Amino acid sequence: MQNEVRTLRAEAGLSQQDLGEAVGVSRQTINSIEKERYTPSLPLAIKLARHFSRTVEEVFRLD
Amino acid sequence: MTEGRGTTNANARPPWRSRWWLPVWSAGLGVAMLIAAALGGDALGGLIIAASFFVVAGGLVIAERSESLRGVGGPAGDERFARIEVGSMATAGRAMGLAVIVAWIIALANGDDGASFTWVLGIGAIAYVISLTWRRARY
Repeated sequence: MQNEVRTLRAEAGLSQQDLGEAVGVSRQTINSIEKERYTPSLPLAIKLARHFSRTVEEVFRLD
Repeated sequence: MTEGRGTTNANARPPWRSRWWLPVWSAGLGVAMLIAAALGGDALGGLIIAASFFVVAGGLVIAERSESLRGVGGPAGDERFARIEVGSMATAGRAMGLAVIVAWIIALANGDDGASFTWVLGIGAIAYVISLTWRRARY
């Protein structure tokens, strides 16, 4: 699963800590998602997409 | 969005997700070991065991900044760490099961009845079946 979280977070000027607090997970979890080591649950994927005012498909895509 | 049954609600943090849970648990185990050893007539041995548990408890408090320690029953637990925890618990369960089976075989080979290992394996098997049944009904 690939994602645009790092790009979108950088565009929004947020730190990993800021984004983690906004969606209710740890900084390390945001880091793992950005490195595409961890695939988030559907609720977390939706929270991330909503946070960036995008659809889930715009943020995450299958390889 | 309403959280599904299979999801973790970060706002509904259970009481054992306090940073003090693991240290208190470790210290409590030490006290239990001390009492058990004292009842068994080896208070000194119990004190040594309890002291090691207290050292672990103190280490857990000092190392509170570690993500792993805060994640395992601590305040840093989120869905990623929940998944890590489940995998780690499964690995530990398999290791313990294998160790008990090996110990059971060794006990039988030494002429013991291995009854205590039978109990442990039986409890593990029953717990597995109950958990499997409950989770199948839930999900």
